[in-house]
Amino acid sequence: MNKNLQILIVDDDRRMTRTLSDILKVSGYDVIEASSGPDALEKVRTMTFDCVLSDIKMPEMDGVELHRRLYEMRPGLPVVLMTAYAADELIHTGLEEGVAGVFDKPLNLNHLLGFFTSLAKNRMIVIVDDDEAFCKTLDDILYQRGFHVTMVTDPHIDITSFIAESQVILLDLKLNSITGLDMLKDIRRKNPAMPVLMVTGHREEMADSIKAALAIDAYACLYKPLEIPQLLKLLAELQKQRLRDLIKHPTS
Amino acid sequence: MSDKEPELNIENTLWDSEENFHHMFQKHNAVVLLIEPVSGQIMDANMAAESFYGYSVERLRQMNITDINTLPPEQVMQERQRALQAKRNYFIFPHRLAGGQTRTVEVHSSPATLKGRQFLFSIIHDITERKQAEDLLLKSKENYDKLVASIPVGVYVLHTGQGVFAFEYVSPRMAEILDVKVEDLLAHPDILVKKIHPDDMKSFAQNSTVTNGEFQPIKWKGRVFVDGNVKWLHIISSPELQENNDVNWHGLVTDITERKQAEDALLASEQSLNTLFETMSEGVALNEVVYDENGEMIDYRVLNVNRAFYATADYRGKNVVGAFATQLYGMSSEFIKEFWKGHKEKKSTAYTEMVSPLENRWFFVTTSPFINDRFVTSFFDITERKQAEEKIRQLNADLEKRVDERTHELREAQEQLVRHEKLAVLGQMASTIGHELRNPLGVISGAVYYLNLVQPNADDKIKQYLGIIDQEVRTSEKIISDLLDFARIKSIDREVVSVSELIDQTLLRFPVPASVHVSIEIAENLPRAYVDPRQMIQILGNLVTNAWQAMSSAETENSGQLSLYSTLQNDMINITVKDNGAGITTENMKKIFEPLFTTKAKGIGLGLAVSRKLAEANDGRIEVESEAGRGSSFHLLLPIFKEIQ
Repeated sequence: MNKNLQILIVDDDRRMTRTLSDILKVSGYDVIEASSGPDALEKVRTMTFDCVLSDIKMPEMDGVELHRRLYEMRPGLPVVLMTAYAADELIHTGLEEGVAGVFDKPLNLNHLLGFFTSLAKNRMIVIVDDDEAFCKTLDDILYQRGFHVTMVTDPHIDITSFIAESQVILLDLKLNSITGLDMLKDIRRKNPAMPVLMVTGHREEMADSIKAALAIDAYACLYKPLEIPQLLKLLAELQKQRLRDLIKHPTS
Repeated sequence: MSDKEPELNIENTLWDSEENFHHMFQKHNAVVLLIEPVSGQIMDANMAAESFYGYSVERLRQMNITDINTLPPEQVMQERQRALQAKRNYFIFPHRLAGGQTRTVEVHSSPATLKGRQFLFSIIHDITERKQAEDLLLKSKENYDKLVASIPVGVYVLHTGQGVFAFEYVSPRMAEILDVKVEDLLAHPDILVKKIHPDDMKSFAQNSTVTNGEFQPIKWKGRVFVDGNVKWLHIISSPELQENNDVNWHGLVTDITERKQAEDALLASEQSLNTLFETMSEGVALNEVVYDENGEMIDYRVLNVNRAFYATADYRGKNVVGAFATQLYGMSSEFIKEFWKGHKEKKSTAYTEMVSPLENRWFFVTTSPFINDRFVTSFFDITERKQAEEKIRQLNADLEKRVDERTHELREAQEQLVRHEKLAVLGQMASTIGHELRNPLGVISGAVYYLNLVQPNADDKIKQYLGIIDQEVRTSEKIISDLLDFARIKSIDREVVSVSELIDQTLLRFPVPASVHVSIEIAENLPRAYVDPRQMIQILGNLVTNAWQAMSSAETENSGQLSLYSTLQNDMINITVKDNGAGITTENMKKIFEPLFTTKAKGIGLGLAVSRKLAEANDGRIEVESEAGRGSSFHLLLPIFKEIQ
């Protein structure tokens, strides 16, 4: 969990990947360089990354196209683009499709490093459910898609420690001895802005609780059996919002 | 005579009587001649004859009557024969006197027998004077008749009195006027009365008046019916009182029908002219020329005006008739002299446009030619037309002005277009070059960053040079950014953003040297702006950088004071960047927003041009106040975020 962020740098200008790679390595990140879109896709297939930093304008495949392919493979993998050009149309498309952000070249390296620092924090998706099997399956699926997952099967554990590292919490409404609604209230007390997705297999019985949860800003409510594409979409959406905030307000 | 004795007794007796007769004969005052009827020999003459003819009785006894009578002897003898036969005893003859004069004499000649012999006993009266008077009278009568006949006036003498009403005289002309015969009128004087038109009867009857016991002359105008037609008569009649208190009226009758008709026609014509005059919409004045003692026209007087005159010229209630042009129209005598002199000579109608002193109205004035020093002026109000003309003239002037302005604008636009075209080409080139330069610049800045990271303990010289490289990369990047921004505005990504955030970000990204003191003041409760924050930061960065550069280059280097303050100004957020630097000269003030204008050693002069462009693209604007030597204030005015309810 505390291991270094794995960053993939993609640029057809090798001097650029080289310089950036050196700076980031010195700053404490694990960096892999790719010289093209296909090269990057190949590396993502075989390795795990926490973030992809890619130039927009490259021969063969541009940065936006690369993001599109990466999203199909790993919806949870954040992609940040760099550009020396005011290629508005392309940038706009990228942002529409879920690119976390765009950095202008020449890079403001302080800004960039600040972003990575922020990214390293709060990147967990916490799943709180006493159904271990369900947790395990979901963990596998999400990890595959590039998300970092922490499972909490014991509802009595002190959640304060992982709230700090979470970007999203998936919370079952019906736990062993404590209701999800009570836990949500607890989370809200500790972090009013924390996005929480409620999950339940009892749509009818829990209707009142669902209503109450939504009333105190539960982000959404999902029903078991989970529709994975819907979940991934929601998670990607939440992640995008978070990354956008990070780019604007990096923890420098 | 004594030799005839037998008869003597009787004859003596006779003679005795003859003696008496002789005596009578001799002494009678009348001229008497005894004439032998056959020969015409004067047998005897009396004393009166002697004195009348101037011959002695003896001389007369030797003369023949033909010696006295100047008529031819044959005629004299014939007349004598008539007298002898007593066929005639009265003759008028011309007799010559001894002195040679001829006198008209009246001869009463009767045969007489004396002593058995026939004589003509002729008594002769000198009637020359009477004859002459008679002739004169006759002539006079003739002339009178001719006169009466020749004048177109009927004449009459009417005798009135107790139960008397009769014409004593009626001239043929009078009869003719009444279409009657003189005799009829004389016989039936009431014919006249019967012919009088009933409507005029009253005036006719009332005509004869008596004042202070005296008859007054009659004057009457009236109508009579003559042969079915109406005739107008004018009768003047003078009374002549007779001894028996009857009155003879001497009257003159004139047929004035034609005159009356002409008068009526004139009156009708006058009336219609007057109606025309009064109902005309144009003001009309009849004027009379006024001359000075040298006979020069110096003024004119208004004799009459129509109703419209008062209305059009608004002389209502003013004394216009009798007024002088100099007073009424405020004309100068000189003007009148000049204008009217020319007008009088031309003898044609003149048309002028004049402005009336009252109410400042314009009139089209028509001035007729002079006729007997009189002329007509008519006034047609053309104020509306004049005003329209003036409006058109102004419009034309305006139009000309606008065409000029538009031409100027077009020329400027064209110049701007050329400039823009140049800039567009420049922008395209800059864009390509800039983009390509950004990659190597990125590598350089990355390399410097890396070196700084890995060599935190490098010696100062190295750090200084790394600093120089980094700064130059930033400057280069700035130039490229300006160029790219100017060439093409990036799409605007508007957000709701607070001013403090914008200012913080600006100062973070565009650091101000430590030597400059920065103060920030943001009004409380300032609403948030709705703008593209990146573009605003770019603008503010430009302004801030300009500000500190202006202060570091100025002489007032010692105390660089940069103030950033923000207030609400007329529904917009005003962010002011104020420095106490060199300021901007009035001359440069106009140019600072022009692209490629710069006063800096470095930079290509696009910063403010780009800033303005970006501000306007975000519905904002940039204003500037500056004074050379006193520093400048740049105001960035931004739209407020208005929540949609």
